[in-house]
Amino acid sequence: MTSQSARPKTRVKVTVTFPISPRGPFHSEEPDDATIAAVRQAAMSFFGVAEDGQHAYYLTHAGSQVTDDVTVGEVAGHAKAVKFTLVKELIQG
Amino acid sequence: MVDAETCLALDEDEHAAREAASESGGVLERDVADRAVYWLTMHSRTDPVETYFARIAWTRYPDGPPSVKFADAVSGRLDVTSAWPMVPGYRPGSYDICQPFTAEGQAVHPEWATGPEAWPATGNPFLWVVTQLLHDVADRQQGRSA
Repeated sequence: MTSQSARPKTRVKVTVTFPISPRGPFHSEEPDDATIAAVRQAAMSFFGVAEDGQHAYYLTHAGSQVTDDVTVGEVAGHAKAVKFTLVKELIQG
Repeated sequence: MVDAETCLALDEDEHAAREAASESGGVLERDVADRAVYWLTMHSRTDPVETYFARIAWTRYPDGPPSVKFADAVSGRLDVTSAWPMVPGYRPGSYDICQPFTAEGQAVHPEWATGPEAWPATGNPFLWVVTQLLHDVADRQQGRSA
């Protein structure tokens, strides 16, 4: 029986900017299969913000929203680093 | 005419805002006649031919939100409802955006002055405004206003 060797995980340098935060950008290095949800949660914790019933938080890349189920590797492609922006959105009734 | 402090603060923060616009295929330009006014050209993600021109006019930066309106071109008319994208909180009929990142929104909702919707004078609020507009046009837009 031939065992399939697991594909080595690539690590991607991640930067998340939250424009209205007095803190600088959030930096981390993530495996390429890390989800955007995990990155978003880590960034929100770094910036000291939390989800509530009135606001939604998203990561955007190149101006467009990236959904939570996407992986860092899917966004980065062949790049070794990727930048996101944390967006806070008022949920209006 | 805005004060020198506003112009200096805009000089400092506009680079990041310009870069964010460029990364999403847009363009951020400073008005030729008024250094406190910028024009943000954006494209719809679903229909890249659709182009929108937002006028971002600061009165005091970073301490207060800008007036944000859509025009039919860079330096164009501001009284054209079809220049506006249909986005929740955007009101083409009133030529305003009822969101915390605009002077118009803060004026309509004085209760926003304190609490989580208060204008954030920290970080780079210019980048925040540009990021919100880019995200709205790319992801939340439901077509063009009539």
